[in-house]
Parts: sequence; C-alpha cells; structure tokens
Amino acid sequence: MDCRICMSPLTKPLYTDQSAGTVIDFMRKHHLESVPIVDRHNKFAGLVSTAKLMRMLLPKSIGMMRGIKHAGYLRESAEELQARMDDIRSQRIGDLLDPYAQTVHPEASLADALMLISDRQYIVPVVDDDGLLVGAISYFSIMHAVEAAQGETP
Amino acid sequence: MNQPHQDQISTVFGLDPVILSASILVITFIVLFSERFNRTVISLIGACTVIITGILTQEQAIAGIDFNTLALLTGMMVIVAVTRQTGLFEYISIWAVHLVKGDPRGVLIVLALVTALFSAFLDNLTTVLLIVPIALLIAEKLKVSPYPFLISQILASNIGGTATLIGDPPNILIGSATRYSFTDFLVNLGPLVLILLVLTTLFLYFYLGSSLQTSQKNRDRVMRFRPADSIQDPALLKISLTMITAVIAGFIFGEHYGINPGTVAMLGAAMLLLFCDFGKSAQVQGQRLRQALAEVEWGALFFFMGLFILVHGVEHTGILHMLGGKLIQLTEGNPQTTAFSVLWLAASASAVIDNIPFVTTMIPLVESMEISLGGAEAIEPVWWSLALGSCLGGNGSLIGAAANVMVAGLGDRAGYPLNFFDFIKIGLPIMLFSVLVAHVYVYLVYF
Repeated sequence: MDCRICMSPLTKPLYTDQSAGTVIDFMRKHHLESVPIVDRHNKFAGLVSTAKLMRMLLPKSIGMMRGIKHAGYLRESAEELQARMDDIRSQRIGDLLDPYAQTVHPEASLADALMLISDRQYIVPVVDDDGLLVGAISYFSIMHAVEAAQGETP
Repeated sequence: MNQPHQDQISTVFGLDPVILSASILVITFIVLFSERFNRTVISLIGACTVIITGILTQEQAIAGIDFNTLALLTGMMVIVAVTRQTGLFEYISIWAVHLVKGDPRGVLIVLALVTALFSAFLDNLTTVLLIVPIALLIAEKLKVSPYPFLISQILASNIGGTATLIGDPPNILIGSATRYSFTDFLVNLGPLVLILLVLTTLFLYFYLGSSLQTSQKNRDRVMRFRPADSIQDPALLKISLTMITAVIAGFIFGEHYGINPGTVAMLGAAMLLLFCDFGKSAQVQGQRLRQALAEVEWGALFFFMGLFILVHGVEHTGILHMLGGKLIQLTEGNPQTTAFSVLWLAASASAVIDNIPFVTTMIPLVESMEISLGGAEAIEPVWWSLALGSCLGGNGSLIGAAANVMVAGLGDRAGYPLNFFDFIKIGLPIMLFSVLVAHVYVYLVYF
C-alpha cells in the first residue's frame, strides 16, 4: 500500500496567518495530537503539535533549551501558566510550527509513514512534488484504508 | 625537547619540508579561524595532509597525539554526563539563589560564583549549559534584564576555569606538556583567580547589577522554587560526588605515584559507571554507558587529535625551534620579558581566535626556549603566563572561548540575543584589566 491510499484528505485546512487560538481550539475539539498547516498557496508549512504547545507552556528560558530534561525545582501559580497560555493564543499559527516535522510523498511506501508514526510523529503530512499538502496519515486513517480494502475483496 | 629532523624527511615532489609544513599549518589555521567550515573536519584534513605529503609517517603522527589530554577530556566528559543527570547543578544554583533571598544583585553574584566554581573543577561548556537557563529563568521571574546574567556567566566561566589543571582546555594542554600537577596549577593560578573573582564580583555588583531592581512579589516567585526537588536521583548523586572527590584527590596525590591526570579521569569515569548501576543487569549498565558516551564531545576530541598531528608535523621540521630562537632574540633571553610577551600575546590572540590551536602551537615553541632561558625553573613563569593569557583572553570578545559562544547561543534561543559589540564594551576592558592584574601578579610572585 502507498501513502495516497492510506491518507485522509484535508477538507478544511488551517493557515499560517490565522490566530494560534484557532488551531488550539480545533485540536481541543477533535482531540488531535498534531495538525498540518498550510500557507495561503496551500503549500505545507509545518505541523502544530501538542508537544510544541507543551514546550511553549514552559518558561521561555527552559522551554527553548532542548538539553534540559528536568526542572523539578520550578513551582508556578495558575496565574503564571494562564499568562503564558494567553501569550500563546495571541500569536499566529506560523509561530507555533514544529520545524522538525517530516513529510511523505503520495507515492511513497506506507512503511515510510509507519516509521515516522512509530518515531512519535503521530500525524504524517502527505506532500506532493509542488509542496502542496494533499492529506495526512495517522494510525486511524491506515485502519480505515485497510478496512476499506478488505471490504472490496470478494 | 624534540630536535628537528629535516634531513630525514622525504616529502612529496622533494618539497622543502619547512615551507610545506608551515604552509599546511597556516592554511589550516586560516580556514579554522574563518569559521566557515567545521573545525574538526578541517583539523583532520590538515593532519592527514601532513601524513600524505610525507612530513610525518603515520606512526610518527600517532606518536604526536597527546593521549593524556584526550583521556583527561574524555574521562571528565563522562563524569559530567553522569553527574548532570542527578540535578546537582540545579540544586546548588537554586540553593544559592535562596541564600540571597531572591535579591537580583545577589542572584547575579551567586550564580556567577557557582559558575566559576563548577568551571574550575568541571567542564566549562556543561556548566554554562546548565546554569545559564536557570539564570535566564530567574531573570524572567524577577522581571529584570537577562543581559547582566549572560555577561556575568561568560566572565565567571573564563575566570573560574583559569584556576585549575582541568578548568580550561589550554590548562589541560599545558599541564600535559609540562607535567605540572593539579596542585601546581591550584597553587600558582588559584590565588590570582580568587583576586580576580573578588574584583569581578565588585564590578558585577556595582556596575552590571546597579540596574537590577524588582518587587517583593517577583522575589517571592523565585523563593517558591524548591532546591530539593532538583535532585533526580539521590543515590546517584552520592556516588557522583564521591567519585568527583576521589578524582580530584587522584589529581592531587596521583603525581607522587607517577599516575597522570588522564589515567585518573578515565579510571574515575569507569568506576562511576560501574558503581552507579552496580548490581543491575548488564543491559541496564550498557544503557547508562551509551547515554554517557552519547554526551562525550567526540568532535572536540577528534579536533584535538588533528591539531596534535598538525603541530607535531611543524615541530618535526624544526620551524617552532627556529621561531623559539627568534623570540629569544627579541626578548634577549630575559625570562621576565619573555613571560610578559607571552602573557599579552596569548591574551590578545585568545580574544579573537580559538585558544586551543593557539596554545597547541605555542607549547612546543615555549619548550624550545627552555634551555636558552635557563632551564625548567626559569621557564616556569612563561608557562603560567601562557595559561593565564590564553584563559583570561577568552573574555575579550564573544568568540574568545567556546563557553562564550555557548552562552550567546543559549541567550539567542531564549529570545535574548547577545550583541557582539555590546559584549566587547564590557568584556574587553574586563579582559585587559584582568591581564594587567595577572601581569602584576606574575611580576610579584616570580621575579
């Protein structure tokens, strides 16, 4: 199976210049771990992930440092967290993008997408030769594709 | 001292070995200092060129590698990699911040002192990597400018690292070449470092710290931090502290039994890895080993290896011997003039270029001057001047030391870019003043 068969097409894309609150509300409503984002030319721009949002919820001086694994000494009030949440919501979606997001080509083997999903990128954007986002693959979209294929088998 | 062997060198196309080796060294250093390419790759290409062109055979090249330095660096990197998992650095930093009750000026001073202390006994880069984020976090909570904290961390790491044999790579290189012990470094450089730390503390308090004002509410935010919660693994912490103490004791007493610092550090690293997972399965022990080895800066070690071969090639052809003679002529064989020349030359060079290749090249040059200056005792102030100049010179600019670049990078990532010229305005006068103090110190102590 290739990636095109297993992907879910994106019906209503989210754009980099929309407010960050839009994507956060979208993810909350649909219980999504990550969402692919496009620019106004429908070209894939990056992923917004809960991992990135969580990192942004940390104080900037710690959240930006990838080498730091623990900060158990830190004790903060709900007000301090709320202030940072408000700050995140006021940004643009483009400011929240994960720069390390990997993509697959529609004709690529499904194995490529599975490797990325198993490496904790739970949504794999499918991007064509022109850089256009044509869909996304998740565990559930693969399940759906397999069930559909079996349903067609006589 | 190694004698030149020009007559035994068979180079490609019969080229003059002196000109050839000098050309390879100069071209490699120009490319290195341009910082347009990865320094390890360039150093290895330079080293291989020395062998391919026939200046050194492969056996001679390997003999030129200072394995004591490499073992000392690797051993300490492993020890730091394991120790940093315990939360020790964070604990001491937060504890120190509590000690001054979150007062911004006090925090500026204590965090600088913590960095100076850790930089003296552990790796500078790891120290700033762990302390700078805490300093920035505290500045964020206190709602004060983070720049005094970034600058103070750079100054403290370079000054603190000057104090010991293991504090800064130039000291490791000099210690390995001269066989000066850990105690020799501490006794000769330690008092000056203490003086410089006191002066720097005053500068931080009255100049950089003067703008740091905050409210009691912000101080309370910092006081809510719990130092004890930093400790991730108390058992590992005990083992790490025991092993660090044992390693430092090994550095001090090992010299009496002919045990080099490289052996002490490697043994300490191996023992730490053994005891931290003692009684657990080989699989768990292997995982810890892989984690520790993943944090070793292999690029830096190969960079050193390449440099050693490169400089050994030049030394082999006798150029450094010749340059040493010229320097003796210039200073008229006077140890005092030579020491002061080396001090200021090393400081100026280290402020603008990587001090590791500089010191690696200077070592055989200084060695070649030993007899002319009157023997091992007479040349001692020259060695200390080289160590002082190359370590303190790091404060002269933002590219003066690897720790400076690291601090600037951390600041940049957190949204506080440290401007090159803004740093020079503070760093350069501090560097010139500290080298001046070192000049007076060398004069009073050795002449």
